[in-house]
Amino acid sequence: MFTTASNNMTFLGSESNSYLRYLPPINPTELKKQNGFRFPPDIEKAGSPNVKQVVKIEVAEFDFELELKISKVEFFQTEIVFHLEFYTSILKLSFYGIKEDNRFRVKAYSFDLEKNDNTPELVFRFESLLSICGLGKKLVIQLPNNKCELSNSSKLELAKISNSLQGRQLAYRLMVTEKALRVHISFPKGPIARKDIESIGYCYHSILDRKFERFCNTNLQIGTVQTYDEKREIFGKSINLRKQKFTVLSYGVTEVESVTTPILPKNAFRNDIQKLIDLDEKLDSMVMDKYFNLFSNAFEGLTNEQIEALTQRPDLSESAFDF
Amino acid sequence: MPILETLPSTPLVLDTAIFTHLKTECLINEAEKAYKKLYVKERIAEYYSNTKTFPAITSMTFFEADFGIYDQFANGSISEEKANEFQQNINLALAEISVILPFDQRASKIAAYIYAHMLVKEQKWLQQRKTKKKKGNREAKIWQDIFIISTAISHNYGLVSPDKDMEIIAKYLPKGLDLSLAVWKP
Repeated sequence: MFTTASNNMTFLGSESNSYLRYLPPINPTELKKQNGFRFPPDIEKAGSPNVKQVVKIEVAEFDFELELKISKVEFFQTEIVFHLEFYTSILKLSFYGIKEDNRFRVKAYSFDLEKNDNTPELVFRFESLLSICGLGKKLVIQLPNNKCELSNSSKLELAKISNSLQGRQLAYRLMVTEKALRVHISFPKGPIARKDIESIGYCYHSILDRKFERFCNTNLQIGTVQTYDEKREIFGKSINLRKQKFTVLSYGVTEVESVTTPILPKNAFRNDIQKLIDLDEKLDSMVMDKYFNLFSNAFEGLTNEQIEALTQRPDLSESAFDF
Repeated sequence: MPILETLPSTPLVLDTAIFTHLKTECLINEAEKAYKKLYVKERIAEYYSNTKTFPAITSMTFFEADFGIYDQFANGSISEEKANEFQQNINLALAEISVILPFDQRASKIAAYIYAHMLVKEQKWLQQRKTKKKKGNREAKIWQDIFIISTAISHNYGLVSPDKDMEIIAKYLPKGLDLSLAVWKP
């Protein structure tokens, strides 16, 4: 089972010394009466006359910039939540911290996607945002009249970032399937089963790779060739991949060749999406660096002799373990 | 022979030998990097690119790592405080970057079946392996590898190993079970 971050409250830790100007608590119902969001009067007075009601998120390493309109802001004792228009959904950007004098010290932040019809494109954009913010050394969030610079902690959980990259990959594969086969697929609200992940991968490889190997449970003789109208099910929806040729290569392994499976049209994705797709190699490489560093850190402070002794395989000589 | 090749999407678990090679590659110094091929790192990066997951390790490998620490403590080579510190560092790091597959009831059944059959049918090979070990070759005893194989199969994972011994062990799997094996070599 796999759960995308879009189905989970997602914390991205921060060890920052960033300060936001103290924003006093406001009853959210009052904001509604004001016909849209307005800044608290003291902020408006002190700020620039051209107050932009947007939040801008920047991560320099990825040349990433995203400007999102504010739809609502909620103020709590230890939390400020910006509700931002994020394509077809609402993105909640929450700052957690403490009030100090007339400022709000940010201790952590999080992104959370409002539950609605989570299309692959929306999930792809959201998971990309999380991966980029999680891997970037410094995240700059420009709020109206405030600039918040957040540096990610080196102890940021790698597993969470990797989870986002996995969600991003699944969403991308579904986007490819949607474009090629002209179908609409929504992400489920709950966890994703392994059989769905396999079907998503199968459809993606059918469309892009055209020829690939897969496991099969068949007693057919090696070299047997058969052609079928192949159908797969993703989240309960039947996906017609049309004609595919199957050749039994060896025990348990079959080669699949797409015959009339539709292909991905050229320039299938808009430029802003393509730019995110093209980040894949860089994101992977940064995750791998962190992974290998974490592995090395486990042995930090040990001499080579100590490491050798500690990682020597056990030798138990009792009769039950004599081989 | 009930052995399958792994495919790019097969979830993989590292055996202790590959895990040890990874450790060596991660601790290599800058000068050595210029001429040594870091084959485990390369293969893990390739695997990550396909699956966006890190390879798992088995609780047996975890046991072996912990054993090394407590063995040093029991022999008086390191203090209890140091042993706890090393144990915590290694366990925390491993738990963060890997899924740890437990040796469960299904795995124990598979292991018992293999072990019993090998002791009867592979006596000669096991003796040879044992002799090799006595000559200073740090090869694991067979039960350690049997536990690793059975854990991988129990959780439907493919196994990554650098040597062919796993193929001999896999010959004695209970009927209907296959081992997906990826042999990674420098």
